[in-house]
Amino acid sequence: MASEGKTPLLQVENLKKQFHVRSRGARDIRLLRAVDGVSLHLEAGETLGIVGESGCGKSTLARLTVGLLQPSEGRVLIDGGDIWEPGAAGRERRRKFQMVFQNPSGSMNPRRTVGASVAEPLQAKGVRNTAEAVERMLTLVGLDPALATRKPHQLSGGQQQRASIARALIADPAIVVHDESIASLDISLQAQILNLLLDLQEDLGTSYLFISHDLAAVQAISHRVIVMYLGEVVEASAAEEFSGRPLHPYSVALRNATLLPDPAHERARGDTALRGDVPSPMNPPSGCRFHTRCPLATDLCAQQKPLLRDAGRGHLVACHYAEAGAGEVATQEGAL
Amino acid sequence: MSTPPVLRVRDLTTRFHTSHGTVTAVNGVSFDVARGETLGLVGESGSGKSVTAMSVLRLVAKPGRIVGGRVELNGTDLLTLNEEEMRQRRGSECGMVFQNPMTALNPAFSVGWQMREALTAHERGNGTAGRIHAALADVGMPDPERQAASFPHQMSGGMRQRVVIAMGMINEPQLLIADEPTTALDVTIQAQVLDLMKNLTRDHGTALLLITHNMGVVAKMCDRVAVMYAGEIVEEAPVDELFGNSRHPYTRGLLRSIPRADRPRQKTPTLPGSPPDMSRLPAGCRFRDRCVFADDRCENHPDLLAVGARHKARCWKTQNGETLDETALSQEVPHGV
Ligand SMILES: Nc1ncnc2c1ncn2[C@@H]1O[C@H](COP(=O)(O)OP(=O)(O)OP(=O)(O)O)[C@@H](O)[C@H]1O
Ligand SMILES: Nc1ncnc2c1ncn2[C@@H]1O[C@H](COP(=O)(O)OP(=O)(O)OP(=O)(O)O)[C@@H](O)[C@H]1O
Ligand code: SF4
Ligand SMILES: [Mg+2]
Ligand SMILES: [Mg+2]
Repeated sequence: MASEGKTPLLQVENLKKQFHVRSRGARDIRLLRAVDGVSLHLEAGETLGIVGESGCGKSTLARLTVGLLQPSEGRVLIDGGDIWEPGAAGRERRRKFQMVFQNPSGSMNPRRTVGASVAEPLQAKGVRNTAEAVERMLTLVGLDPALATRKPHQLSGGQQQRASIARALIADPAIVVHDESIASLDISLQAQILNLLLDLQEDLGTSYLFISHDLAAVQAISHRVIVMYLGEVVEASAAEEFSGRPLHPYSVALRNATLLPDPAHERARGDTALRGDVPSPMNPPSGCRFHTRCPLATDLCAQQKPLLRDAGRGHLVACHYAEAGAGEVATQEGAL
Repeated sequence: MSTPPVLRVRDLTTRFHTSHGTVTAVNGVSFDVARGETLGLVGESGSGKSVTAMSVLRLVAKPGRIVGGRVELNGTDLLTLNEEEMRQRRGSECGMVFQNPMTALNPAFSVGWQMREALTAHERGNGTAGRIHAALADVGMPDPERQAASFPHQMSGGMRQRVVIAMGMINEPQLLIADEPTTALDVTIQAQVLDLMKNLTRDHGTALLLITHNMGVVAKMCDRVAVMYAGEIVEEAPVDELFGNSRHPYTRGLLRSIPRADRPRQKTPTLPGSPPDMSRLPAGCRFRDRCVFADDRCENHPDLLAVGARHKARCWKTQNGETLDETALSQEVPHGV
């Protein structure tokens, strides 16, 4: 997918991760394909938004990308070099990442003060005097620097989340992976953090992988967007193109189910939940993995797996009926 | 109103004594939630929403302490019950969905086992397993039978959140407190879960206290909304009134920060400044330093008073019938941080 001749900053090639799951009592061990052949690339100074159903493998993909998990198959390349290359080279590449975890306790040590955790990436770089930088970073994420002396459990959910954002940004990393990094902040703070990320990107050329369930936030920060469903990429496009014309029926369902801050509109709205059971990644449906819940599905969809193809203007989609689908489902809902 | 509310909170005050001073996280908070009603609790991060919820169920951990007020559930003041009486009510009469699912789930036990524990004793029996699987299927869990046997660390963030929601609702409580229940869910699953909560309030008369930052969720779910800032409720209004005619400058600023999907990679306005240090609160209106409308009156602390039908605000200006001129707000928008 990378542009001709140029090596992208980050390249993920056909990444797969399987977990072996044994259910209690049962003797069989089954394979759960959490991430099932994902490829993507990210340039310096670019933001790639990732959306998708809960449980579709976004956090697993994030952990594989930053090198917290070893892939079952596939590669993660930084400037063309594998992050799992043995020795210093691989270690050096894995250091280019910072990650903001979905659960803020993932990055904050419960026994250390918030200030100490935030300072850590700077110290790892050999910086001795971190106090000033910590204070500046906490202020930038809207936290009172006085909170630096507290332990994480003495902070509210959103305060912890901002502290982990501060920690991720403090040492000017090349790539920051955000896993639902702003979901538990009030909307004014969400906007403040998004603005901060845009500023840092402009000044330092930072790249972001931005995982979120909030389409508006993804739109506000991303250059490109990919949509995942059951471990696979089902749509990839420039952000602007995607907001105007989501093509995959799952993407259209996402857009139509997005709630608007308008009580009268929300009361009038019909049922927007998708029909059908959520399929299991241990036993994914045949053909198109979305066919069990798709309003457009035909027999073809149950039999033949749609490949990711260019539907024009570099807009990739994996659906047999994408072009027909986008318009039809949208007018059905009469949305946006 | 003829029937008394399910939940009636009066002057609730909760403090944390820390080595850096006393934080009054919840400061004289009062509100009601009626049978079948949904009250939204929104507001600044760190303003005391979760501590309010935890205080209602008396789950505030040390060094936190409820220092005053009343929390009446169907007329009984929960703050006067002994620990055992309180524990029983928590299981049966009030359900709680915690902001961080990991604090509510024990990593050492399977999800199904924990859900069984959550069922009140007299509800357990032959049909228990089926009931647990149905509750998991209701919240959109794939493969519920298998998932009941899995452990929290084997689940995605949103799957854990759905388990906690299912646990909170499984006894069909009279009061359900849900703290940011859908932050880890995609919008299609969110719709399913919210519909389920709506059905519980409608069919079972459950009173729902819903804490959320998502204004779309507020619009869909809430009958009334209370807005918190620095430990206090600063505005309370029916939901249409709050979105259409908010009477507190903080609420106005908050609503202006809603991102717009139709404007890619553009900055959204934010509230200038930051909230006060909760251990060193300024005299007067707590929003004063950030308020574009502030004047001399605001050096005194305003009460939460009626500014319209069923509409209260804690602002000198609107209490005196003055309007909040939106143009003043837009001039103040800082770009960048
Ligand atoms: N154990 C504690 N010790 C000291 N202060 C605490 C403690 N727990 C919470 N606080 C403080 O109490 C205030 C209210 O916290 P609370 O968790 O209720 O906020 P919130 O409104 O739920 O915020 P968020 O939207 O970020 O979840 C915060 O300023 C927080 O720092
Ligand atoms: N350690 C593990 N063992 C077994 N299964 C796992 C493990 N970690 C994740 N999974 C499974 O992998 C799948 C993908 O999980 P992941 O956390 O990546 O989803 P997600 O897209 O981040 O979802 P959410 O939006 O809910 O956070 C899920 O079915 C989950 O149950
Ligand atoms: S391929 Fe078929 S089932 Fe899959 S999304 Fe397209 S129309 Fe729906
Ligand atoms: Mg996740
Ligand atoms: Mg909270």
